[in-house]
Parts: sequence; C-alpha cells; structure tokens
Amino acid sequence: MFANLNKIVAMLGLGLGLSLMNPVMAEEATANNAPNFTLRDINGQQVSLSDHQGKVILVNFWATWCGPCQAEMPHLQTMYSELKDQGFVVLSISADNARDASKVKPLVKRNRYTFPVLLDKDSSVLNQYNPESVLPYNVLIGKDGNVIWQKASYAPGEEVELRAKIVEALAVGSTATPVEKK
Amino acid sequence: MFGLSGVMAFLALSPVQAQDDEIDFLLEAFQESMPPPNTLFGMGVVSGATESTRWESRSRYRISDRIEPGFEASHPNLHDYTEFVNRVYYKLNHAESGWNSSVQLDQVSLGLNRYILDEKMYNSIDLLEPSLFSPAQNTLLRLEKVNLTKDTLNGKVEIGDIGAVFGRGIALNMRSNKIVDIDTSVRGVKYSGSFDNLDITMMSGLTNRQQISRDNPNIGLYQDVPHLLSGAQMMLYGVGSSTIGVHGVAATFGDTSQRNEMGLLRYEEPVDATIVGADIELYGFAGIDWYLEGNVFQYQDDALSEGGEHPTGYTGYVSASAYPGALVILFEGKVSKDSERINLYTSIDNWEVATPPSLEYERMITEDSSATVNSNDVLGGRIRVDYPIKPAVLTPYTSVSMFYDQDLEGLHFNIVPERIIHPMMGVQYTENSKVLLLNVGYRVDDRVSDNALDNGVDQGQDSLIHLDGELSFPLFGHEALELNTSMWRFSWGNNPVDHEDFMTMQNAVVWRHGEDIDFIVYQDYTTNTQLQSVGNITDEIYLAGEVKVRPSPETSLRVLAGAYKAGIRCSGGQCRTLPGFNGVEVAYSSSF
Repeated sequence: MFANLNKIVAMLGLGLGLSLMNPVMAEEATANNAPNFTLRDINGQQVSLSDHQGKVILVNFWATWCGPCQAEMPHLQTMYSELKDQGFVVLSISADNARDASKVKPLVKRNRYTFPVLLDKDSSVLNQYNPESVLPYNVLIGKDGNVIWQKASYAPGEEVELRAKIVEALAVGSTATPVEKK
Repeated sequence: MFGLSGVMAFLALSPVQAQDDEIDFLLEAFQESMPPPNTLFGMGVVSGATESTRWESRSRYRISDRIEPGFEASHPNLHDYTEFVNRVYYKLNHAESGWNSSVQLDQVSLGLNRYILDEKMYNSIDLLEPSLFSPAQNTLLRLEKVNLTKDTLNGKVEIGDIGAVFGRGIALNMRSNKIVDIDTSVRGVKYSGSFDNLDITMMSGLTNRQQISRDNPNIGLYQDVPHLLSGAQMMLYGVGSSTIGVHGVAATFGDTSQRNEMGLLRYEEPVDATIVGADIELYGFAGIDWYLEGNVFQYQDDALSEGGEHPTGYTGYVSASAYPGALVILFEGKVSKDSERINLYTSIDNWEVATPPSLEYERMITEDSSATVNSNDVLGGRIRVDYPIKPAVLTPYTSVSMFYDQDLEGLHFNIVPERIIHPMMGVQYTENSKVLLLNVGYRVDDRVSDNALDNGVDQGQDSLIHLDGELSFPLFGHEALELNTSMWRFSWGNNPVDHEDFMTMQNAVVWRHGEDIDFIVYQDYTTNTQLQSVGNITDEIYLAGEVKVRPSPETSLRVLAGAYKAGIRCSGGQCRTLPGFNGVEVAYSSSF
C-alpha cells in the first residue's frame, strides 16, 4: 500500500490542482494544432481548411520554381486520385510570389492535377505552418484536426512513407480498412 | 471518456484501499483526462490553446582571406571568427476562440573576432554599428517579429508584423523572402474581410526589417529607417467569370538621418508617394485565362523625383494562358516607366516595397541582367509553350523573352538602350523515382546605336549561354543519387569599364542513404572577377562537403565544411549579392 502512496498523493495533488485551475477542462479541450486558413484557389474560389473538417488533409506547400516540388507533385496526384473517396484531400498551396501567380495555373493544367491549388500571395499561411520556408513542405492533418506529421523537402522514394502515413490516418476511427494500392 | 471530475470522485471514495490494478486504471483514466500534447490548460485566455516551437541554430567558423600586413606568416588566421545564430519561432493557436499568435526571437553572437596588437584590443569584425544598441558588443538579441491574428465575423484582424501584397506585387509586395534572407514586414494593423464575393484588405504600419540574418554574415548590423506604408485593396469575385480588383498605397519614407527617431513620427509627415492600380482576371474568356493590371505611381517627394519635376510612373502587366489541345501556352508582357523609384529609399537597406514581374529567368541573373530586373524604363514579354507528351511525366517546353530596356542609370553598364532576346528550352521528366529537369538558354543584350549617346561608336552586345539541370535516380536498396548542375558563360562585349568575360559552374552530387541521411559534395568554379570570394582549392575552384541527418521528420542536423563562391542571387524580383563562405557550419533545426 505504501508503495502506491506516492502515486496516490501525486494524483490527488495534481488532480486537485488541475480541477481548481479549470474544472471543466477535460471535457472541453479539443486539440487543434492546425490553424485554420482561408485562401483563393486558381479559379478565384474561396477555400478554407475548415471546409474539410473530418477528413485527412495533406497541406502541400510548393512553388513553380522548385524542382523537388515538381518531382513530388505527380505522386500527390496519384494518392489523391486513389484515396479521395476514402476521405483524403490534398490542399496544394503555391508559395509563389504574387508576381509569379500567372505561372501557377498553366503548370497545374499541363500536369493535369485535379486537387485544389490555392494561392498564398503574401506568404501568410506559409509563415504560419513553415516559417523556415523550405519547399516542398507537407503537413498531414488527421480527422480530428490535429497535425499528425510534417516534413520539409522531398527526395524520390519518400512518397512511400507519406502514403503509409495517409493510409494510417484514414484508418483512425474508420470501421473499414482503407484499401492499400500499390 | 472518464473525465477529471470522475477521477476525483473515485479518489474521494476509496483513496487508500486502491489495489495495483485500480491504480493503473486510475492512471489510465487520468491520462485520458489530461489535455492533448502541446495544449495549454488552466484559466485565462490561453487555456486550450495549442503551442508549437521551432528552433533553428547555425554555428559557423568562418575562415577569412583578409590578411594583416606584417602578420601574414605569424598569424595567418588572425581574422577568422565564429558566428552563432539562433532563431526561435513560438506559436499559439486557439482554434475555438479563433485567434493565433506568433513571435520570432533572433540572437546572434560573434566570437574570436578580437585580437590584441601592441597591447591594444581590436575587433577584426564588428557585429554592430552604433545605431543599433545592444548591452553586449558581440551579441544581439532581438524580438524580430510579433503577430496576433483574430478571426472576426467576416474575416480577420492582424496586429503586429504583417505581410501585404496587392495585385501582382507591382504596387505593394511586402512578404518574407527567405531564399535571399529578406524579411521586411509592416508592423501595424491589417484587416482582411470577405463579404459574399467582395474581399477587402486594409493595412497601415511601419516597416520592420529583419536585422539578423540566418544564413548570411551578420556584420555591421545597423538600425534601419522605419517607413510608413498604408494601403487598401478591394477584390470583387464572381463577376461573370472574372475577378475585378482595385488598390491604392500611400508611402511616407524616412531618410537615413531619421534612423533612431520614433517611426510613428511618419504619420505626421506628408505622403511621399502614392500608387493606385486596378486589375481584372478573366477565367476562360475566349478560351484563354487573362490577367491585366495597371498601376500609376505619383511621387510627391523631391528625392524620388528627377530634376525637380515630379514624374508620374506607370506599370502595366498582362498574362494570358491558353490550352489548345495538348499544348499549354503562357504569355506575359509588361511595360514599366519610373515605377522602380518607389524603391529608392529601401533598396539601400536591401529590400523593396514593390517588385513587378520581371519575366526573367531568375536562376541565371547576372550582374548585367539584374539591372533589367530593376529597370525604370522597360518594355517586354515572354511566351512559353509546354507540350506534355505524357502529363506529369514528360513535358518539354520552349520559351522566348524579348525586352527593350532604355534605362541607362543605376546598375546598368551600357550607355545606350538594349534590345534583349532570350530563347530557352527544357524538359521535365518525372517517373517512379527518376527525375530529370533540364533548362538551356542563350541571351543576347544587343546595344542599340544612338549617335547622341555613343558618338557613333558601335557598342556591340553582351551575351549569356546557360544550362542548369537536376537528375536523380535510385541506385539499389534505399540508396539514390542526385546530380545538380548549373553553368553559364557571360561575354561583356564592348564595355566602358573593361569587365572580363567569365565562366561559372555550380555542381552538387548528393548520395541519399535512405530517407534520413544525405552525403553531398559541392563544387563551384568561377572566373568572374566581380565576385569578392576566393576558392579553397585554387582561386577559382571551391569544394565543400556536407552531411545531412534527419533523426525525425521535425528535426534536421547538417554539417558543412569547405567553401562556396559568392554570387548574385535573385528570388521573387529581389536580388542580393551573397558573400562566399569558407569554413565549417553546423546547422540544427527542430520543432517541438
């Protein structure tokens, strides 16, 4: 009994302290590490992160001048095509300067990308998520709105790890196991 | 969910008799009732906010090629020094209450930069100039950026350091440009709101230049002059298939004598320059996506004017993209006169208020072509045609740029106008884990004869031939190889200061050992006598090695030893002459 006394006292003390500070904290706290944002897409439509609540979201920062970004994006398109019906969405954010904004849509068109492509002309969202501004930069957000994985840069082959993370995130809280395609 | 109150009730009923399994159950229940990681708890406005921290650290030992006469032999490393730079970003996000805040704290310290000669201490390198105060001579700690953003009913309000871009950045382009280590924000207030199809942005504040460079040498840091920028933009979306926008900017500049004055005094001073502009974007009009923008610059300040006259500047920009069949065609054109004057006060501090599209291939900007980027009198365009043979896999392209640059002042080396033509071609191939990106081009700046300026002496032309590319492919197992190269040869032609033609190469070989370790060898070569750097192998050859380790997705460690060359680097219309490096650098970044 005495061996457990420390645990009991610690729990009592901590519990009492927490409950005094915020008695309803445990019921109300909902972690959301992913700050919401609203941007216009390449067709002028408004898109918010919160529009996709409950889905697994990959926020991908890239630029037209970024070579590794161009190498990575076809893989994102493949993942998006395969997994969007299971609740996966790619929000692709161009970090191009406003002066280069006219280059974004032609690049999307020539590569036949179908995921939403947003323009962050004043870098406000880029600074929020990726202050170091390393490109490409991926942020994977789970169904609960929490950031579950983020990574800067891309090297060929790394899409395998990213895909595994997405499939894992889709499986959370799902009764059906996401279909794994090779 | 076994809530905290449940835990407390359970503990109250049987606090002492609990057995081991009950204790474990309680602990588990208690753990469940704990706030999620990185979530603040307690009372007050920050309760429930999630926090994140990112730390970037650079430690460098810089080998200097500067020598002290008479001490070369006995003290060859007299001017070597160390530099430590730390940058911490701390963020709080309260999703439920719709606010988030961030701060950026920078610190730089120099070491080994003092020596004693004839019993007197000298600084071989000064970190600070008198205009920038720090209690420690060789250390500066600075709260560089602070921002608080709060959602409102129709948008958000930002207070602190904000960015603002209107149109294509021709009237206002205040955003961080980390590639060239420039981050000048506006410290003030900004409102961005959406009312159905109408977006409104209003901002006002004093410019706040980032003082401490993360990647460039921190030498002679000084207090920059705060300038006042105010502006508004309205964008109306969904007007048929178009978007229409109008914007205006007012600027009041301070001069160097006002470095240490309170910036708020700018609000008392008359406006020095105003810019008004309008733009329209048409989606799919006649099968083409159009963007048109026009801006007028009015200068009230004498220093921004020429010969006592207050000129009116203008910049027009158009882009049109079409997709006939498999082709993707993009045309961009611009005309600009006296609009670069707006950057006169700020370019001495290495940043710019506005940066119109230059239409240049920025990877190959030279000392000569950077003048065209910042030209006060230029007309030109570029057309690029992509032909996706297999979309997202294999796409060759060709492009051609043409400019007529009549500006002869500033960095321009020519005494007569230039007619510039720059054809390029390239290919993008990405399939499975193989990547090939290749660009080649040839640029000619033909100097147009003008008897009044050149006295009938043919000024000839300068030319640039360039190639850059990236090739990466898997080897075996988890090993992969990446080759990067860029090379250019520049011929000055006739020039009044007898610049020498030069050849430059920058190469890198990357060995990727799995996803988390890279071994890199860099090799630079240049015969450009304009550069202020010397190679470590020969005067012209630079060699460096680097190891990158990523122990986790949030953490990276990099160690570089060797040298790389100085050179001009441009990004987003901003060019900076970056110094070379010789020494050792350890870089660490982590989020937690």
